[in-house]
Formats: sequence, C-alpha cells, structure tokens
Amino acid sequence: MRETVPTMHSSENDGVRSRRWFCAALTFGATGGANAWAAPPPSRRRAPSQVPAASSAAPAVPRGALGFSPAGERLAVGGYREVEIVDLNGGPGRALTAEGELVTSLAYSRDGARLAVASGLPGRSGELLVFDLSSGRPSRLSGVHSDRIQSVAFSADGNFVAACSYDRLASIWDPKSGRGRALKDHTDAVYGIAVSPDSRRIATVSGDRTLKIWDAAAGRRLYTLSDSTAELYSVAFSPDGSLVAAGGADKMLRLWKSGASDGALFDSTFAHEGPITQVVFSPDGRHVASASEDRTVKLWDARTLTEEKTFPRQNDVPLSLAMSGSGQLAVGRYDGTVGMYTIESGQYRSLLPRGQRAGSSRRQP
Amino acid sequence: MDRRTARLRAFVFGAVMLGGTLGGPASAAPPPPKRGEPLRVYPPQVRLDGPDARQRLVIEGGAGATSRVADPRIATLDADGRVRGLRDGDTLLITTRGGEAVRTPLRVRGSAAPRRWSFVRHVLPVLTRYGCNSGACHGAAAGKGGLKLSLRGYDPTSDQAALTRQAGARRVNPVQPEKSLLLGKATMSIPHGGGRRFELGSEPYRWLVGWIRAGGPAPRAGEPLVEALEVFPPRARLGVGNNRQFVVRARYADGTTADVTDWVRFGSSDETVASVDERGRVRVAGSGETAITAGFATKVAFARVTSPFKTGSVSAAVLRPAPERRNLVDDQVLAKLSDLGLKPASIASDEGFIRRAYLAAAGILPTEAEVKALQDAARQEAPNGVGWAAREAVVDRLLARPEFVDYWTYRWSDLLLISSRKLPTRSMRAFYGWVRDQVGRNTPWDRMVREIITASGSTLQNGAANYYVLHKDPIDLTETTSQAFLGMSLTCARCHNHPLEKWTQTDYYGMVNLFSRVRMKNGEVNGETLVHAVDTGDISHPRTGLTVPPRPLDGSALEPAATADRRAHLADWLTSPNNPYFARALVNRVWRTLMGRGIVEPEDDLRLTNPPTNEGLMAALEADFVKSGYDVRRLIRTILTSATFQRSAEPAKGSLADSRFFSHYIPTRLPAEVLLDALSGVTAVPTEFVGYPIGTRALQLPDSLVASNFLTAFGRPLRAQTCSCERQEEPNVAQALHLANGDTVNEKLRAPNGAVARLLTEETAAEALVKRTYRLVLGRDPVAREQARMLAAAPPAGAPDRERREWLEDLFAALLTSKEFLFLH
Repeated sequence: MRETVPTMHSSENDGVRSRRWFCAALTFGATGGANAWAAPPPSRRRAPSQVPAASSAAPAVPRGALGFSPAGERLAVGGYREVEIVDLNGGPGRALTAEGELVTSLAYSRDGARLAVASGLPGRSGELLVFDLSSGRPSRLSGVHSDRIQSVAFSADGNFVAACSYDRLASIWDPKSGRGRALKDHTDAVYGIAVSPDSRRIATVSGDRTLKIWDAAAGRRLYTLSDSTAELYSVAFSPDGSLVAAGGADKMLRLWKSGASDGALFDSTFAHEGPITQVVFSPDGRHVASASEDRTVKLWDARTLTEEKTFPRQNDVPLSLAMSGSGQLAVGRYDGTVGMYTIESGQYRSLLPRGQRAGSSRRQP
Repeated sequence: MDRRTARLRAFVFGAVMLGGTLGGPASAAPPPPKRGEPLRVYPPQVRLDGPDARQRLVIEGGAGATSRVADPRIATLDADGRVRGLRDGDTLLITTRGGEAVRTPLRVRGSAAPRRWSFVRHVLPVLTRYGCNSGACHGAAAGKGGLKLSLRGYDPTSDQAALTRQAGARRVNPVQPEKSLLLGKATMSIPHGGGRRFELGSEPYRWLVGWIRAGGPAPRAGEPLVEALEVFPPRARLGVGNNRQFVVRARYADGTTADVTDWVRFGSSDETVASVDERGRVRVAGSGETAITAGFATKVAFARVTSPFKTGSVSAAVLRPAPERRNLVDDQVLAKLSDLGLKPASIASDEGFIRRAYLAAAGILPTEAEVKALQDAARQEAPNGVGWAAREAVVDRLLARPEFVDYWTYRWSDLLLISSRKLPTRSMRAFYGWVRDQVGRNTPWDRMVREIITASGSTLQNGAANYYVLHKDPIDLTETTSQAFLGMSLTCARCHNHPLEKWTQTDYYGMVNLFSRVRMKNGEVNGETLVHAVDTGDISHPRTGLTVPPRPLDGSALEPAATADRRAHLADWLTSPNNPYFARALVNRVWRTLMGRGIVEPEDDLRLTNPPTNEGLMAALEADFVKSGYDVRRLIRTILTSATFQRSAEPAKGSLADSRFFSHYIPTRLPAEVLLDALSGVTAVPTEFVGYPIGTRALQLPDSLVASNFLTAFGRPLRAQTCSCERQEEPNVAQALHLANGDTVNEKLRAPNGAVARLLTEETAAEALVKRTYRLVLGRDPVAREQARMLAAAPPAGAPDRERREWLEDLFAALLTSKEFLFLH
C-alpha cells in the first residue's frame, strides 16, 4: 500500500487526486434546471486518457459501494481499486487508492473523519482499509479473511469496524491496533453486516438464510433469526436500534424486533420481483429503501412496511444504496452509473453517467 | 499462401487423412483402410460464416487422399485438418484419391466482420460443454457453491445475470477479465470443487475473456438461435476396433452455420456397440447398431453407426433357402438383418406359432383341438413347408374372438390407468366399458384418442370423460397425454428445457394451456362428474410469469382470446397424419406387446436421442397404420402374419448375439394376468376374485385394485402413473416361491374337479398321461427323452390312486414351472 498525500490536480497516479471531472458529471436531471455543478475551466481538466469512466471504451466499473458522510455533504463511491469522494456542494472531489479489485462496501465513522473501505480478490483474499480522511493515510486491517469482503460497518462509538466475507466469516476490528477477530457461525457466505446504534450488537446475514445477532464486545452469537427461505444479502439496523431489516433472494423484505437477548419477526412483505440486493434505513428511521435485481428501487414506510414509492426502473441492477440525513437516496448500479434521488420530490440527479465525459448531458437511470 | 505453401498444406492434410478421419489428435492410431470404401467428404457443402470461422472435415475412404482449396485466397486448410476462411468468396475444396476426386463447394461470408461477442454463442457452449451447468454441478436445482445456473443453459438471461451481477458482482471482473473468479475457478488457479475444466489460454478461456472484455453482454433480443444440428457422417458402417471422427454443424435461424463439434455433448445409445469421446471420436467395440447422439443448445441430433456381426453383409438374396418374406414387416427386418450380417431364424413349428399367437395377441392358450386343427390344415396346404394360409386363418379367427377384445381392453386400461384408485366404482366401470366398446368395434385409434381428449359431459354416460377425473391438473394432463399417446416424456420440460429432446419449457406450457380451461363439477348421481370446457383460465410460465399461447408442442398456436374448446385443436394436431409421434407411438406399443421387445425400447421413450433399432420397419408400419385409417386390428394382423413374428425363438447359427433386430423371436416371461389365466386354464380350476363371478379371468378384470397376491408378485401394474415401467418384468424371489410353494399352483393341482383329476379318469396308462399333460400344458408332444424321464418317475402299474395322483400333480407342477410354460417363445 502506497502512502498517499492529498494534493490538488496531481498528474501522478497518487492515492488522492483531484476529481473535478467527477463533479462536472453532477447535473440536475428531473427538473432540467441550471447546471449547478459547472464544469471546470478547460485548463484544469485532465486529459481524456486520465479520466477512467469517461471513455466509452473503458469498462464499466460496477458500483457496489456508496456511503454518505455523516453530514451528507459528501458521497463516497467505490470504484476499481479506488474510492471517489464527491463533494455534493460542488467542491473538488478526492480519490483514495484502495487495494484488491472492486470496492464492495464503504462506511464512514460517525464523526466523518475516517472511512472504512472493503474489497478483495474473490476466492483469494479480503482487503480492509480504514482511511484517515484528514491525512488520506490508510491503515490496513488484515489477517482474518480469505475471500473478498462483502460488507463493512463502523460502530457508532468509533471503536471498532465490523466486516464480513464470502469466506463464511464475520469479523470485528480495532482500527487503532489493526487487530481483528473472527465471528464463526455462519455456514455460507456472509453478505451483509450492520452495527447497532449503541455499538453493542452486530447483525449479519448470510447465504445460509439466517440473520444472526452478535454481542459486539464478547464476539459471541446472541441469537439467530431464521425466517428467510433463501439467501440473505443485506441487513440494516434502524437508527433507534429496535428493528433490524434484511432482504435477499426470497424477494421478501423483513423487519425483526431486535433486543439484547432475542428477536422476533415484526413484519414482512413481498417487496420485489427479483432478489433484494440492498436494504438501508433513512437516518431519521422513517423509511427503508430496498434495491433489487429486478432493477427497481423502492421506498417503504418503516413502521408499516407499506410501499411509499417505486423509483423509475433502473437501467441496470442497483448494487448499492445510501441515504443521507438531508433526504437523498444514492444508487450505484452494475453498469457503472451513480445517481441520486431526492426522496420527497423524486427528483433525480445523475452523478456518474456511464461512458460519458464529465460535464456531459444529464441522463435518467 | 504461395503455391509451395499450398502444396505443403495439401501434403500435411493428406497425411492427416491417412487415418480416414480428420480433426482428431495426430497421434491417434489410424483405422485400417477399408477396401473399396467410396470417397466421401463431409459436410457436403462447407460454409464459413463470420470471422475466424473454421470447419472440421470428415473424409470417408480417406486413406491416400489429399485435399486442397481451389482458391487459396479464400480459404486455407489448417494443420489440424480444418478449413478456415480468409476472405469472402466461393471456391471448392478438392479431395482426390488416385484418379477419383470429390469437389465440395466452399463459401466464406462475413470473414472481415468484427466479432460480436455473445452470451448465447460463446459462453453457453463453454458452460455446457465443460459441465458447469450440468445437473451434478451448478445446474443442480440448488446450484453448487453459491452459484446456480440453469440446467444446460435453458435460461440464458438468468445465467448471464448470475455470472455478472449476483453475489455482489464477484464472478467476473470487467476491468481485468483475466482475473475473473469465473476463469480462476475453471482453470483451477483458484481452488474449485469441480476441478480444472479447461486450461489457461485455451479456446474456451479466450472466449470467456472476450465476452467479459466486451462488457459481458446479455443475450440479445432476437438473436438467431440454433434451428437444427447436422451430424456428419449421418451414418457410418464400421468394423469392431475402428475409429471415426464425427463432426456437428449448427444451423442458426439467420441461415448461418457453425462447426460446433468442440462444444457438443456426445453420447451413444449402446456403448456395447460403440462409444464416443467428448471430441466426437467414435470407437466401435462390438457388433450391432447404435446412435451417436449430439446435443448442443436446445437441439439434439444423431448419426447411426452400424457394426456388422460378420464382415460384409449377408445378402438375403444369397441365403439358401431364401428367407421367408410375407409382408412389409419382413421386407424391412430382412433388409436390416442383411445390413448387419445376421441370418434370420427358421420358421417356428405350427404348435409353436399358434401358442405364441394366442398368448401374445389374446392372452390365452390354444386348446389341443385348435393346435391339431392347424397342424392338419397346414399339412394339407404344404406337406413339406409352412402352411401360411392356415396360419393366417388362425390369426383371423383369433382376432374375432372375445378374448382378443378382453386382452386389448386390458392393455389400453393399463395405458389409461383405469382403476378404482381414483375413480368411483361406477365411473371406473363406465371408463372400462367405453374402452371395451371401442376395442370390440375396432374404433380407429385416432378417433378413440380424439374422443378421450375432447371428452365432455357425464363420466357415467361418457366413460372417456373419466380421463379428466383421473388427471385433473393441466400439468398432469399434459404429461400423461404426451406419455400415453406420443410415447414421450415431457416432464423434464416442466422445470427447464428438455435435455434429451428439442422441447423447451415454453413448448411445455403452451401444451399445458390447451388443458387449462377444462372444469368439473359434481353430477346429479352419486359418483358422477360432469366435465366441461370454459372460455377463461390460463397457466403462467413459471419463469417469465407470462401466459404462453396455447400450442401443441410444434403445432400452431391458438389465439389466446379465442373461446372455442382448446382441446379440439390439440386433438387435431395429435391425430394428424403429419404428427410424427402419434402413429409411431401406437405402432411401437403394439409391436412390443406382440414381439416382446419394442422397435424403440422402452416402448414409451420415443425421443430423438433414442431412435428405433430399425427405422425402416418403424416408418413402414407407421405409414401402413396411417394409410389403413389407424386400424389397430389390421396392424396386429400384419405383425402376426409376418414371417418375422413366426420365426423360431432359437437363433440361426451366428445370430445368437442379436437381441434387438428381430432375427429370431425374443422369449419373454408371460405377463402376470396371462400367466394366471394360463394356470387356471390348464388346470381347469378358475381363480376366484372377490366381487367378481367365478370364471372371470384376470384379463377380464376392469380394476387394477382387485386383490391378488399372485398378480402383484408377477408385476401387475398399479395403474397409478402412465409409464410402461409400471409393469414389473424382472424375476424375483416372490415369483419363484409363489410357483414352488404358493397356494395358486398347488391348490389348482389338488382341486377335486380340476384337470389332474379329469386326466386320471380319462387315461390309465402312464404314457398316455404324460403325452396328454404335455399337450395340455405345453401344447406339444413330449420328445422321447422327456417321455422316458417322466415315465421313470411314474408309479408302477397297479399302484394306489393316491400315488398316481401325486405323480401326475408333480408332472403338472414340473411343466407349469418350466421356462417353456412361463415364457412366450
């Protein structure tokens, strides 16, 4: 891992680079309003060859990881061996050089000072980095996983990072010491992980169809919830920690009540026509958003699990979701595009259109 | 290519061809040259479509032959014996051997077009060829190791999504394709439970990399699919130990073709005759005939390999005496035997013939008088030969007997599952009565089936309507109808495209929707059901969720909104003379009933990959059956009066190994009901069935649930599912114990008014008793050795009646448990 130094407009392939071109791709979509994200002056643009996603010949990088900063003013976007950090207010973006291959998951610490980045080589190794965003320096957490890390979560108190992998293990890490320990109990790939807001519990979901709740301090399994009938891919805690939502291959969105010692199914609904790829709670706890291989993204009332909104059909499978406190829902897709909906109005903003140069025209998903 | 290079290529090519085959490894041992084998080149026209297109060739009689491309600017011959296009144009491939030359048209098109990577053309063939999507690996219902693919690629859209998008898009790496997990696993650079499937840098590897690099595109709407496969050579005549390369060409809907030999799943219908390796190289191991099957995409095709039992054919024309030839059956069977170098067996004796005909066609034994009548008539007709006319008269009388009606009613009751298992007794009897009426009137088979398929109304008034009571579900109706009347199983296509047939899941649900509008309600009388068609109701395709328009397999689709009874459309298609399955299925069932072995075996497994052992015979009988107006009785008569049916069960010298080509009659154990009736008849002691009058024969029982340990032990079908496999034909211990120690035989022998008692009163001399018993039980006189052995065990003259009776009971028991009695031969 190379140490990276934040510089502006570096011509070298440093860990942190300017991403003004990226900002230029941010356009209002649904309203057709003024382009608030003006393209940089020509002199400050990069040469086309240095703009990975801008060339139509460049392969699309599946967008499997998104993360809003706690204040919602930045969006981290996972790429191929890198993370783009987009300043949603039009400021310069940044790039962090990661390892492995595709970045699969991102998690900000609650204070926004650190960013956990998961990736790895399928079938070979898992890579987990925690970036100090002020210095841009990563610390590497290694020694547990032997396959790609599927999901990562930061504890609210900032004391640990939780991760899970295709290797059937979950793990808890001390980001300061870099030490980690494995949580062994799943019998299939562990696809999703979440940490309760009080940092005491960890939820994991797996291809073994179970949701397991763990004691974060002891690293011990507390209980298993086995209502699902097929692989589970994604899990999220409600902001008050009382509910946990999960979805997967049986197309059902389920909510469980989750306590310190046991849990029970609270509600469920047939949510999509295809497997659910992502489930997230809104920071205010009112909504749950779900994404599916059927290329739909839906918003649900978190109390009644009734459908509030189905966003326009996506051009490709939505692999990642993120919701901000300011009512934005970001969607990352397999075809490399990233967009953002304003939840209330449904207004769409294309953040990264595939195969288009930065600053090119707006585009619906 | 300059002229010198071209000559070199021609030389190399010729050297490869010395083995008579092309495309195999150069180190493969060449088969011995075949004297006089004509020079043939396959495919007969070579078409190379698209960039990098190549075609492997097969050259029969290729020893000493050389090939060259007339215009070397258009195509070239690779060192491995494949033709490769260089630029668009037409030319000839010229193959010469001595002064003989074969000119094969060669056309190259689209050679300069950019390669368009396709999931269907480039990825699915790899996944299928290397077993990735087989039932034992990721094609299993639950997948394997987290990856689930559709079985042999029946659902390309889902498979592409699974490889590119599922599990967090971990399986392919669009940025660095060579690092894809998919490739790492297949080449074992990453541990893989399925082992190494292919090598780094191999053609399948390059295809997958190319597809991933192109963005892993999904199957395109309207992308031309494979329409047909051609296997070359379509038939081959080879000796034991010979090898031959087969090649397979796919023809796509847009008219283009591709050599798909490397991607085909090969198989052999009879491995004891010839086996085929994964590259299409056939090795002949024994004599006979086998089908080399090839599967690619959703299509299957086959080529025949004939391996004569003797070197060279045995021409029927030169056999002395000339083999008997009575009708179209013999024409076809003798032609096949000649081709295989098999000699037909001699014609069975009159008593052997009449016993066989009675048992096989009516399930009864001839009486002593009937045997004698035939013998007398035959002697009068042809003192030193076969009394063909006398035998035909026997057949005609037999086909007019009520027992003939009983027998075939029973046969079709098995097929239609008539039983009180699911039907109320009155309904069961109504259905049975309806079938018996049809058999009695010799209703044409197409009309009988049409009446079943379109049956409506009261199940008591119209017995055929019970078909819908037995099979309420459209799925069940689809599978049963296909199995019963087309002789093919569609069940595989319920969940995925049929792996051994051309039927797709969509075809299946098109068929299902022909039955989706049949409804039932209770009638006014207890046990009565009213069957009727309605004008709403469809079954959705389970995968797409869409309604498939009602369509009988490869027939025309009905307008979904049409309100007419859809079953009439199905019946039209089913019974059409153009339907290649309907008549064939019935012909095969009748043939098997009479001959002991189907032309296709099992009798209800008619599929492309299980071809008839004698296609000419099947086709001739089928055509004759259709031409006769689906006259089942005429079909039976044709078979019974053929010399083939009347041949001895003892093979001619040198033909012992034949069990499939009807060079002799194939002995089979009597069916359970026939055997029980024969025991009852010979002993003159009827078997009692609860609820039926005394004297009712087993073959007259309408219901398969009538209790009988004997019938159960000897494999009476349950009539629970439409499958010839329901009837158990294998021997078991229970059968042996039943015959040796069971009540059935012993009580009949001990009966005070049975045949044993009657014979003892009619005859006093032991010689006469032995002779009468042989005639009664086996329908023939004992030979001297048999007579001597039986008499040796006889009690002395003047012995008490009890001893005489015990001896005669033992004699009866010995003959009733002999193979000669138990088997149809």
